[in-house]
Amino acid sequence: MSGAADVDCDVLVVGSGAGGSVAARELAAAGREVTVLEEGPRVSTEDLAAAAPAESMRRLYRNGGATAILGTPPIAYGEACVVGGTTVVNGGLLWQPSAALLDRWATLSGYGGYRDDVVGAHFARVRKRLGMIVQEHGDGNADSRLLAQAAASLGWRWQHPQRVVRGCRHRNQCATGCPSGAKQSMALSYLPDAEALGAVIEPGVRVERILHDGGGTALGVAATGPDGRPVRYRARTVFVAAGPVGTPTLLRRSGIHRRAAGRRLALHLNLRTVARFPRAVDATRGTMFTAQVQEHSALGVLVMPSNVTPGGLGAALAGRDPGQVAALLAARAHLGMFTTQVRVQGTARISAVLGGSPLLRHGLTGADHDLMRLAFRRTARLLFAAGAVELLPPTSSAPPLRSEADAAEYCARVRPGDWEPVSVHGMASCPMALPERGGVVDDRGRPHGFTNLHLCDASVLPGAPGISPQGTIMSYAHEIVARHLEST
Amino acid sequence: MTGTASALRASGLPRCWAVEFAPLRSPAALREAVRHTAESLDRAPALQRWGLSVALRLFPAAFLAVSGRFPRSASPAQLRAGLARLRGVPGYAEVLRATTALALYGALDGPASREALR
Ligand SMILES: Cc1cc2nc3c(=O)[nH]c(=O)nc-3n(C[C@H](O)[C@H](O)[C@H](O)COP(=O)(O)OP(=O)(O)OC[C@H]3O[C@@H](n4cnc5c(N)ncnc54)[C@H](O)[C@@H]3O)c2cc1C
Repeated sequence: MSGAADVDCDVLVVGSGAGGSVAARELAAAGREVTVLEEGPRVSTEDLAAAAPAESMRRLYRNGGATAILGTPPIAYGEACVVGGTTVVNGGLLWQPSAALLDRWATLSGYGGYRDDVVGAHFARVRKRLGMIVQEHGDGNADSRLLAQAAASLGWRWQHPQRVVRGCRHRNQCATGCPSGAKQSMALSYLPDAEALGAVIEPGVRVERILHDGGGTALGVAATGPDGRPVRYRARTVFVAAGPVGTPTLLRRSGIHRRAAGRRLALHLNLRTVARFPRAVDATRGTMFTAQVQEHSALGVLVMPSNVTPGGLGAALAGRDPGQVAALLAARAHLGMFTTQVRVQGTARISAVLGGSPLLRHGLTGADHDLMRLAFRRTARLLFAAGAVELLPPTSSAPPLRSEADAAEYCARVRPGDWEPVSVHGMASCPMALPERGGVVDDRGRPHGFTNLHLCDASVLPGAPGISPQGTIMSYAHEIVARHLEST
Repeated sequence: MTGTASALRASGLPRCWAVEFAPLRSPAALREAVRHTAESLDRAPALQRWGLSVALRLFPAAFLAVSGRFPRSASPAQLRAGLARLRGVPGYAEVLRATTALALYGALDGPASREALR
């Protein structure tokens, strides 16, 4: 990189999402000089309030929201590229990983230090700092009420979601950035704290490579600044939190664990089902959702309503016959859209890095297809119990389903390539585990063999938690940073 | 108008949307649909962008092959029939679904929707 400007720093943090923000805040609080490099722009609550959802989609999401994971079926994958990372566009759900899950991960990874006593204590700190609440039904959210009543009638477990919001005004735009500032994304919580403690955030800086001496010492990073010019940042310590796809991509581009990084990206898949009710449900009214059905959580399956907007509904229906789309959009007051989240076993991988961008491919298994069929059948039972008269399954070529028998027939016929899944939860692409167990990082988040390079985002989780991952990611990041601070 | 927006208009696809989907019929809605689709394609990863731009360039020829007419000169009924046939052609089904999803999202959740969301 001849001609690159040189900048000297103490600690560099790459990425300002759920993991990077924890590192920035905690390191600054410990008196370190922190510089955060973030590829995306800084966007204020006022900017979000002034923009239409479609504009925010293009501005906040990586690739304008059009990242694809190739395979059968293709998966639409969503993550943000903005100061605050994907927490700016997420639902603000915050769940604690169970002790059983952490024990399982400890056994799998060979590292016993991330069990409930440690992770639970960090989670308690995160939830307090972000002001976690239980989101009860508001004036709207008729779709959530119906779902909760149906679950109760079937004797199925459901819960109001836990969310990090302060005075949610039910504006129903979580996925394109909260326009009222209620959602406590990292941009409104950990990052302003970090700045108050002296951290410097540099938006619009894309890190291209991690510079290292080939012997386990990171020297800094090579980046492209907002003006398109190369910049070299030299640092004593580097924390990388570029997200579950960005972090392994950077490692591979830097020649660090090139073969193992990004070989297995664990996913939760979302199947979207549109349901028609005889009465108006006005699903655009209300916050994201206020009931989650957890009866099948042991299988890795959760069911919940999703944010409905006219455009979101139109996009979900776009593969259907135009006449049907027109009729459905005209009847949209009667429609709800529901998400079935499935923890799949098959993983995705970065099969190549082309022009700096990763090419993602997945290998869903036959067992995943069976689980998706089971999950859909249960969702259908729930939605018919909620009073739905017609379901549009997550396959554009499938006809509307009017009974559980129709749903069973659809499940018998659906082929793996027919599903139209979405994923917004990627994890475990550089898992924390012993090297002989496929691990990329040690229990201080360091790629094996490195001393002053740490990863602290979704990529280090040992697997897919089956719950929304932000709480787990932040708790892990807290522990990684705490261990670093203890040792230096 | 960006290069992609011009290519999109030149393909005749926006005319098809307007014929098929009532919410895309007004000039303002169609403008937002084209804008969102084009600007989203501009942000897509290189390989996807390249694939879609080739598919768009070939769209008039593909339409001609299945219907015997170019989309620009086809009547609304011919457009509907041609598109229905193209939806059965492997590859084009996905292209039509992806671009229609962007168009509907752009028009229905575009600037005109902002007031309603307040
Ligand atoms: C629509 C949606 C809804 C969701 N809802 C929830 C929810 O309610 N609850 C929950 O727990 N989880 C939710 N998630 C998932 C959750 O937000 C993510 O799992 C989490 O934010 C991941 O944290 P991270 O730090 O690994 O990555 P991110 O938060 O994605 O942060 C990574 C950051 O690194 C930056 N970056 C990447 N590469 C570079 C580079 N080369 N140079 C500089 N910067 C770079 C990115 O721009 C990004 O800002 C949702 C996700 C989506 C998309």
